[in-house]
Amino acid sequence: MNTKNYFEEIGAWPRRGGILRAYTIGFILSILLTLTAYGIVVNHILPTSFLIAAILALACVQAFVQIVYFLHLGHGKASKERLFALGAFTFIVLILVVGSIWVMSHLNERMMMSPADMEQYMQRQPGI
Amino acid sequence: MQKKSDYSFVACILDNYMNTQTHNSEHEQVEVHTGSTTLFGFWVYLMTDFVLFASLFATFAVLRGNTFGGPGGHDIFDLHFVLIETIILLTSSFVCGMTLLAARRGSVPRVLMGLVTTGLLGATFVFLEVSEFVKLVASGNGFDRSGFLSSYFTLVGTHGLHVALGLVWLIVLIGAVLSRGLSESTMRKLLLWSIFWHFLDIIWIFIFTIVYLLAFT
Repeated sequence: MNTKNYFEEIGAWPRRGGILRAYTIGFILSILLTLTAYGIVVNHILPTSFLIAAILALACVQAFVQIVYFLHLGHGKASKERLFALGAFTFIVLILVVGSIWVMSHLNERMMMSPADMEQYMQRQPGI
Repeated sequence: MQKKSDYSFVACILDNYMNTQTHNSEHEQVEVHTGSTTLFGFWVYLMTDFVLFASLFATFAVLRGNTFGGPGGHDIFDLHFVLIETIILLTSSFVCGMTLLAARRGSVPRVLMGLVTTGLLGATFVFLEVSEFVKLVASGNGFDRSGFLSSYFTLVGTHGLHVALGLVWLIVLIGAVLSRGLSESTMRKLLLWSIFWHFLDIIWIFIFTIVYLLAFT
């Protein structure tokens, strides 16, 4: 049996071709994004909060680049269901990660008292 | 009529299951369908892995400040070293794509060359990661030093374990290509492995950013 078009037939690759181009673009963009993130951190170009936002944004852009150019997601019927699964799981992951950080940082804030303050606080709370 | 087509559908599935080959157009439809289903099934597995890594990332994000008087990230990480690791893994991901293109063109020697190159780059990556771990443990900063280091070793170690398993899978694939050539089942395995490998590189982007770069901001 001819397996030449197997990747296209099962919908893993787009039928119109251009795979070599996609991989090359993806590779070059990924290298550039990695070096940019590395460069701005090493040289501390931005104030800290902007720097954190910038490297997180660069990571998300690079993930997007690799999903499109390496995993070839986004064209054809077969990729639709994979895209849907990715979207649904990304939603769950965001709740998991953002929720954990949010809850735990609040917990830390409330627990950050000196022992003396904590003693006072406890005395003011009859239930504890 | 209805019964007959039902029957031939079942026969096709059985044929397909037993991996026999017929040149019947209906059979090919089922074959195509099976490949797409396998691809989607594997994708769903990767999504569960995505959730696994997300929970490890969440744990790390919560614990990264809890150094228990021990060193923080900027004291023990070498960004230059990690950048080299990152470029190596990224290059192996690209070579993995080139291997699939070679398979698409039906060239067995090029597929083997691509697999070996990807494997060597992946093995270098695992070697660098393990040597970093060994160095940390030897300097008294093992996983039991602080909450930060526990979550660090769990997150990065789980990724490293995945890459190591990907290398084992790669060796099995070399065997499959050598013994069976680029048959349909080999093509399917190559495709699933390549998706696994690309997925691990995408996870690494976030490890590089959140674990290593964030320690130096």
